[in-house]
Amino acid sequence: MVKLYAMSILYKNTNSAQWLKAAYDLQTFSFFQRGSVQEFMAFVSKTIVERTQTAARQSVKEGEYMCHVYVRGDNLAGVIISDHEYPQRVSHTLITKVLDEFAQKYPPSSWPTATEASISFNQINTYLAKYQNPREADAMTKIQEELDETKIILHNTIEAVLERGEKLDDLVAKSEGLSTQSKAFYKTARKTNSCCNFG
Amino acid sequence: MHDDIFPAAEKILTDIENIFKRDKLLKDFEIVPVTVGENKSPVLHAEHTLGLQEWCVRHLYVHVYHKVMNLKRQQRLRREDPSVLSRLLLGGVLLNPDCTTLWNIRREFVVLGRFDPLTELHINAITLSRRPKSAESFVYRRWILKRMTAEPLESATLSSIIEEELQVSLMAADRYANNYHAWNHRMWVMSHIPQAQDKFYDEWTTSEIWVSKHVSEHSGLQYREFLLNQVDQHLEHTDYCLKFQSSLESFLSPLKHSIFNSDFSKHSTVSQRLYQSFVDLLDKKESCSQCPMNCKENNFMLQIGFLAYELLLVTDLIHLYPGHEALWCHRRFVLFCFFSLSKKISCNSTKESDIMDGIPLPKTQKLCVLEIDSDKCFLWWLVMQHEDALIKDCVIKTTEESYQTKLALRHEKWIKSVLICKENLSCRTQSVS
Repeated sequence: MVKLYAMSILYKNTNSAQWLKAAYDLQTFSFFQRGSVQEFMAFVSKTIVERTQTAARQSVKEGEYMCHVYVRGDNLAGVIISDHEYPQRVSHTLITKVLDEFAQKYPPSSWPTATEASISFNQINTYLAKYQNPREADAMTKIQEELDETKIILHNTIEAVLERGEKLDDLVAKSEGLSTQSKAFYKTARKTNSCCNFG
Repeated sequence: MHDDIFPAAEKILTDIENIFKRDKLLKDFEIVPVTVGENKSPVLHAEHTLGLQEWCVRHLYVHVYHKVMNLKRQQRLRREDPSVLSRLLLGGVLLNPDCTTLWNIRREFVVLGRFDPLTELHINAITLSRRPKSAESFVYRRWILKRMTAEPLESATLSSIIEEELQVSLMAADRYANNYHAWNHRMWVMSHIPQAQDKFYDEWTTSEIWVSKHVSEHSGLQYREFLLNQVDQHLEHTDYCLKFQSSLESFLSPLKHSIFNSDFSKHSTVSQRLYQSFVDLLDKKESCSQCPMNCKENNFMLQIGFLAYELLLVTDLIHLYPGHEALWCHRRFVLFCFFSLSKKISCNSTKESDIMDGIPLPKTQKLCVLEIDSDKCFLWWLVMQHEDALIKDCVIKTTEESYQTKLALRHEKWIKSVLICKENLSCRTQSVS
């Protein structure tokens, strides 16, 4: 399905990343799963931003999902989680656009101390809804041209983004952002998927 | 035996059944990953969704299965307390809709008149919400529908049933990628319930939205191909004429820029008339005030309109979502329809049929679908103009090693080897300027 699930703006500190704003569209998930899915998407967004270098773009494929991340030179970071059919170029163009707009509204000096509650940037919800249809991207061709010059690093699993010695299972287990139910949800999903490969 | 291993089972089953009775709008069932049981009911209910905590699933199913199988073995099913039995069967099909025996017992009770078919459809839809790809569920669903539609129904009831079926199959298709079971069910409804044919144009529109959102799935495109194959039964003048008019105009646009330099008109009067209608359409000469496409005079017009619309839709999707093979496969289908139609148009007048019924093709022609003389058929010439443009565009726009280029070149090869044209296309066109 051509779908955008989540869009988040984060600030990348030296050690960790902190949220500035996030928007989700999880209508396609069943009711009891939505909470866990949202927590998990937030967890993945944060984890990936922390492992992306400054001034770099990455796209990570994980199953049927794609996670696109861009950390700007000034450490403002944007993440989009979409499904694998959503055009990759459009996702990256959209991140650039949203980050530009955010930086215009809030000066860089305010980023390190800001929290999600203190920021009102509702455009992010509008964008998430509007760009469900990638045709809207036609208006963004100018950014697109600039984008062509940057290289997007593509990874085929989340594991590939993690630093040496790190394991996703461990990160999930020790994460504070995930509830017990979300961790159980992760384990179940892991179990269900693993029966497909006989490894 | 196994009966008393899980004493809470009957209580849980009653809870589930009560929710079904209370909430007529229930639409979802799911298993919630709570692996440790607390001392409270594992049955959840919110926003028309029924949830069951994971820890009890295994025990519950074992309980249901053994109880039902014991009753069956001892042939006591019909004597068992109906309320107990309906609870067991409900729990059973929810947890494992792939168990044919459970559905068969339900069938038996429907035949006996103890289960109501409409309730059965509802329960079945809920099982599909968790297991959207369960073939057994769909088979049972069709069995119920067949029984219901065998008797005369009020038209309001019938249309609400059709509406419900279309919704259920869409839900199932949305929830599981490449769910051919769901689309096959939809096809079954469209072809086995005569009244569903009234929905043809609605379906045409809905499926367009769906395929534009699921560009890597051929399952939805396959349904569209099913609809395309029925187009000739739906060639009456509708509001769609207007919709097709604009796509026909852009489809015909290559005619504007070049003269179709050929003596095709000598060969075929049908083709000639069609050509004239096309030219009229482009010049906006309105011969019929009602319908800009003049579809009543020339019944090929609407058919070409449908195909042109589809061709342009696929072109658009291919550009928007590069690198999805399903779209190219669908394009081949559309081309093949065009091909057959071109043949039909040119054969209509010359009366010479290329294919002799029953006589096997010569060996060299087995791979290809017979030649078409594009001198005689400007329609095919037009189609080829579009293909040329698309392939060129894809190759220029994307890098050499990209998947999109690979698919485009593969497509070109397919056209050349399967849909053979007698001469090189470009030599028949002359630029106007």
